[in-house]
Amino acid sequence: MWADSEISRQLGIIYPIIQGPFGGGLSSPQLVASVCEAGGLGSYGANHLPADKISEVIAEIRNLTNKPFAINLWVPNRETDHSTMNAEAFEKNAALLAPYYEQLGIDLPAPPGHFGQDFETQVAAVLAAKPALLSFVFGIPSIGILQACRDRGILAAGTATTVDEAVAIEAAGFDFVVASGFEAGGHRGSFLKPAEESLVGTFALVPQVASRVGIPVIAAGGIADGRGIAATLALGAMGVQIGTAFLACDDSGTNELHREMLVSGRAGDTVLSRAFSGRLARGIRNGFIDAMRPFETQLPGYPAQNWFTSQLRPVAVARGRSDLIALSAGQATALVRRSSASRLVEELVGEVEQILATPSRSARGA
Amino acid sequence: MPGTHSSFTRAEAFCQCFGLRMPVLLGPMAGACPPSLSAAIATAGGLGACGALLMQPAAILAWAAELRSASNGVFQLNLWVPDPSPQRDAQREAAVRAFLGQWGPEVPASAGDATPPDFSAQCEALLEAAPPIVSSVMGLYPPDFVRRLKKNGISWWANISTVAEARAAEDAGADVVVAQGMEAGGHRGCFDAAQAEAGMVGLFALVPAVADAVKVPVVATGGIADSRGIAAALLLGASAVQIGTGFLRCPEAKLHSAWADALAHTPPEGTRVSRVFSGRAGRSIATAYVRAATASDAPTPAAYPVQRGLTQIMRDAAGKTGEVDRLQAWAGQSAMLARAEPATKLARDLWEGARKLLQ
Repeated sequence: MWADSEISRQLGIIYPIIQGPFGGGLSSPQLVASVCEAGGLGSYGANHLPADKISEVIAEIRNLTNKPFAINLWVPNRETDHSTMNAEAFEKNAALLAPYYEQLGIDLPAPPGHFGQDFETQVAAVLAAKPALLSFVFGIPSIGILQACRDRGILAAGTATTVDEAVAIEAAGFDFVVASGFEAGGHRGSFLKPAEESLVGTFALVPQVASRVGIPVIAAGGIADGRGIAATLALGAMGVQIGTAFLACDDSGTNELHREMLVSGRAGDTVLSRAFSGRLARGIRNGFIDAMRPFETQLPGYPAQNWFTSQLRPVAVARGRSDLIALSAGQATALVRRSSASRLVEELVGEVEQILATPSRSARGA
Repeated sequence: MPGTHSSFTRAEAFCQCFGLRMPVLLGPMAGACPPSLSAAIATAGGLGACGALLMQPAAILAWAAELRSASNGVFQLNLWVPDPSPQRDAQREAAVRAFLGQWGPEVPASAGDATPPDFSAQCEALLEAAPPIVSSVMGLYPPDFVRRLKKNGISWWANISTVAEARAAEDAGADVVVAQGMEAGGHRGCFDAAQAEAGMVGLFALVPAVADAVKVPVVATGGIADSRGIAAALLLGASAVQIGTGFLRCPEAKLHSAWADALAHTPPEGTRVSRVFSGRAGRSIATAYVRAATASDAPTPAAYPVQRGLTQIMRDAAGKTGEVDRLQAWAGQSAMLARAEPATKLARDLWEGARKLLQ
């Protein structure tokens, strides 16, 4: 009974299919609700939002569904993050990116006192709202935060890109570990070693993590159809997290430009780059990534670089400039289809059941 | 969408086509594929394999003869499709030689002159050895050689690492494509050597995309070393799996014990793709030499095969002293799953375990 896994039971969902928690506004309450209503677990990546907006988003999700859902946050890295920049560094980066602002007719605003959001208040907002699952990328939050989750009955998931990270996540007391392979779209959530030194394929990562930890493993990276779900279960995972295939759905928060590229078959050439956010992420190769390649080691870290490129985004999207926006995508884009999220869940379940030839609890009869 | 039943059916059809009793194939690892290992796996019903890159024609024929005397199983012979000889760069070579001098005996300038055996002569040896299967890596065989293989009833399998390479291989007449994921140990088989690092695709994404793109059977390789990996690969659409690192700890592999022992302690993130041994990208244990030679202050490796010649002296010295830190210790990302067991038993156990998972 693949659907009735430890993960399904603990989270109170029908199918152990988790929608990947895209950040930067690519998640949407509609997408979360559609996935939840279809029997999976919808996730909202709230890293880009201040605490009050997180509370609003969660209220909006609850207006659309009373099923369990997940909120995702990024653990700050005090060593590598650039939350502030001195004037000289700011001007240097502004000069590097000036041609792009000029092309789009944008006046770069004055820098905020602090780039990015305050993690502690974000966490407080999520804890107060008590989602079924709080998932983290980029590390392990304080013991106090994990204890607060337990006290409120919120399950916690950590994201591992290496076997060592998975072991650390279990030791910290997380309920689940997401094993995120090299193929995954979006940010590499590495935290023990630099992301470039933590590139492990899903095929190698999942079984070795499953052998080393006792907590349930959620596989991520390169999974976009029923074959992939069935294969990760064979590798030792108890559930899957699917990003790109849900990002391409009608109800995701991304723009039509990005969605069209995901379903067009033109997305095959994905690359890892720090150009858009300052942290390593996989996306469709485009002009900005290529242009920034020679400067990648000089760019400011997250979240400063993210602030610089997010100034470009709205105008670039409006003008159809796909060369200037981050086009998050994993390596399984060849398998991505144009669909709604609820139909995608239904199709994935149908494919897995055909492959495994074992009936599971039906969505309606559970 | 194929079912489990059809995963089995697909694997069974593949085995029947090539006279195998299990869809478990040894990876053709140049320098680490003695006939003893192939014989043990062929005895179990899997496929033996020889990476003949560094072997002269006589050695290729001797390998095939020894395998045939030790087993009546099936085997394949593999060759690299060579690139044109590289432009020599005396300055870069001098920097590499100076660097290598810190890791072993002094390296004379002439070390960079070493060249692999003649490709055409190797091809003739393959035809003479007449294995049931011949495979290619780093590119596609010339059309004339493909015609001669087929005329002799020899099947051609092409190693590919992207969907585009898979399509090109099918168009060129390959009977099977071997889809190599970025997890694989040893050299990355990219057709365009310059793209070996930037073009890395994980096996999990590669197999279903290739299976959808070509009509010929797909063999999955890279990061598969246990029953779970075999079952997963077949579920993704592969007809069989090729295992390299997973068999290296078997006694029949006769691997240097320093290398074999280190595999048991190498997590996936403890491997690295680099050009520091041969000049072409390959995945090895991130040993002290690999870490130092890939550091930002280390000289850029020379082109293939010059770099291979330059590092030979260090590697030979390490082989004598048994220091893994200077050995060319290839390893895939599932090295830790490799088991130190007799290969016949291991192959049988792996397939039996995969069958159970698929039931």
